[in-house]
Amino acid sequence: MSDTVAREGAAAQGTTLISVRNLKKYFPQSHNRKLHAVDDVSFDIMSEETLGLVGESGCGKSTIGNVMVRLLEATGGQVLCEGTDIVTARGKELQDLRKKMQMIFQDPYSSLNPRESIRAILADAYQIYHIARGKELKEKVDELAASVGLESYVLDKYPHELDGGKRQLTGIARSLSLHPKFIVCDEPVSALDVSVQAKIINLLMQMKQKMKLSYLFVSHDLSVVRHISDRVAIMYLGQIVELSTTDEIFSNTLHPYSMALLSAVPKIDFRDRRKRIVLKGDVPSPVDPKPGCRFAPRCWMARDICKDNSPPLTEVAPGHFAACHFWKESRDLAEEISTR
Amino acid sequence: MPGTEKNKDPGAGNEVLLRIENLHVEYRSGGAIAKAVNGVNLAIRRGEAMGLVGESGAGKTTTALSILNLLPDRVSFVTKGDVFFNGKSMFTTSEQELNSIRGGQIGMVFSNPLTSLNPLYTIGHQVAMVLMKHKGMEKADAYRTVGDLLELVGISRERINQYPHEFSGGMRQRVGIIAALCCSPQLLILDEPTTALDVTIQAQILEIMKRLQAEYSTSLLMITHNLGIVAELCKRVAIMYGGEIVEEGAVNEVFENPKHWYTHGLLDAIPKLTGPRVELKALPGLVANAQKLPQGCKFHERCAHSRGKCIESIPPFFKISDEHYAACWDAEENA
Repeated sequence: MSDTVAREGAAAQGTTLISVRNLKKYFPQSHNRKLHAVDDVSFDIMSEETLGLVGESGCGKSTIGNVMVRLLEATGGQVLCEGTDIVTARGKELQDLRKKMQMIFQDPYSSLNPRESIRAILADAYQIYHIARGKELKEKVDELAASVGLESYVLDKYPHELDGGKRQLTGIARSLSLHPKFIVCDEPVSALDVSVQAKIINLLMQMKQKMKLSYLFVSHDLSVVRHISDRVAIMYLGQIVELSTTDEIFSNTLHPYSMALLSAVPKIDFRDRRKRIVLKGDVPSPVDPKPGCRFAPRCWMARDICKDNSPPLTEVAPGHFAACHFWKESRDLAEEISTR
Repeated sequence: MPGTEKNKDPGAGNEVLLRIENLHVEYRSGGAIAKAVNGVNLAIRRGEAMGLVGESGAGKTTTALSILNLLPDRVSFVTKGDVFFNGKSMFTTSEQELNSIRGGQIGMVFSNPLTSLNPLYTIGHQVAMVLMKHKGMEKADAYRTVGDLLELVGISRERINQYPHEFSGGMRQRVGIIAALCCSPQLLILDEPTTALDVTIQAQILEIMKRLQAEYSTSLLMITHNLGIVAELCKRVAIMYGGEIVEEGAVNEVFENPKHWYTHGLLDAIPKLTGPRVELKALPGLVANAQKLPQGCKFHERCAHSRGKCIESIPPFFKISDEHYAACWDAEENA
């Protein structure tokens, strides 16, 4: 994918905060094979923007998040944060970048040190970066906890004494402690009950506004992503197949995989009874994928060209990117198949 | 059938297959008592699909396990109430008879398809075993039937001699479903059958369930926290909170015109896939703790509309319409 394509995709409004360029992450397998978890992905995130990243398990969405904050080393490509490449940064440069980029994890229990009190967990970052100590440190932690709505008695508890919602609040507070500009939220609400989930989503949205944050919001839950995101990218087998503004993605879906994914979600609304596109088979293996469009084996409109040529992610309408040879016809074809 | 207020099923012409009457279940461990189920009444008719919805800890799974008399020994106690299947109490039935009912007349699909299949036996063996036991089939016949069933749910019959670890999560769950369905049970209990699955696989499973239910007119009890699944698959729904059913009725009535504030809260807390994006209304507080349930309405501590009456006494079921009941004092005036 060319540089220009992805840059234009981001040129919606505001300034670019993060640019991901041709990012690749391969995991070595036995017999010299490679698992292509992320395969040549490019996109931008604007400042104060939430980009939703959606896909099924194993599509590489969490890997992208991990590579972007450098919890995993990239195989190739760049992740530029205000011009500095995270993939190659070292020493002081990397340390400074880490202050700007934080992460909230899916499982709030395994991502908190069980032997530290909540206060100690929240104080860690201030101590590591020599920001505060003693009485000042205590005040900073109190203030931080209050900002996400954690009651002060919680600070003396340990992670196992808290419920899922409070644990996730701790995770969020920790990620905010250094006033980052960008946070990767990796399925932050999928382990939570419905009533707690709403609380966490609301908090994330408030914090974004208050602290002028940008999020990469990784999730498999389309309704949550629709609720929180400004733009949405849909992934399939290590590649982005469609990217646009949230309203556009949900109302003017162009890629056949996106259509199938959207139609698969069971809906509460009785007036919205669109016919479902049921995909056959399972997601193929990402180990040494075959050339051609990766969705072709499950696609109802695949033709010969799809098996040989991988369609690039192209801007088919202003700000709307799709990687499909037949994006023009896809809507009519979907109409046909779903009324059949 | 007793003509009590529990016997509130409209369309009495339809035969009731399963009736849960005033069921109370406790878990006791050490000195602690957790009241998991507190007076559940529920009736499922033949061929009917019922959704049972609630957050974790609401008592959904405990209710399901009571139906099969499969509650864990020594820690769980049915303190009151009964479960009637085909008019017969499940708690007084002999173990031998229960074994023929479980898997034969009542099938159950569990939420985790990896732990509910035996890793040491092939898929074919595990499903064929059910057929041989309950239907007295010969081995060759049973394997042939299993092959047919695998194809029915979109798995090639060549894979019959493979082991569970060779299957993907979605395929394992499909195997769990055919194992539960192969004896054409009268009632199928599904405990969060698609929670561990991706949406496209979930869609496949839901389509299979719809088809099979139409073909065999099996009664379904679908336990889930996903209201969308209930809306798609079920005719009726029961909402559970604090071990009680707080609202029950036809799915479209309950979802479009909820009468219990908890149902209201649940619907407002979920982001929607269509319509305008409005701010989510989170329910305050946490799910009621089964070890110290509040007096009166179990939901009153989290309810913005609670008043003196709610704290003092447990609201009974008020009839909203023939197909809609709610246990909320505010529903009284609508009754």
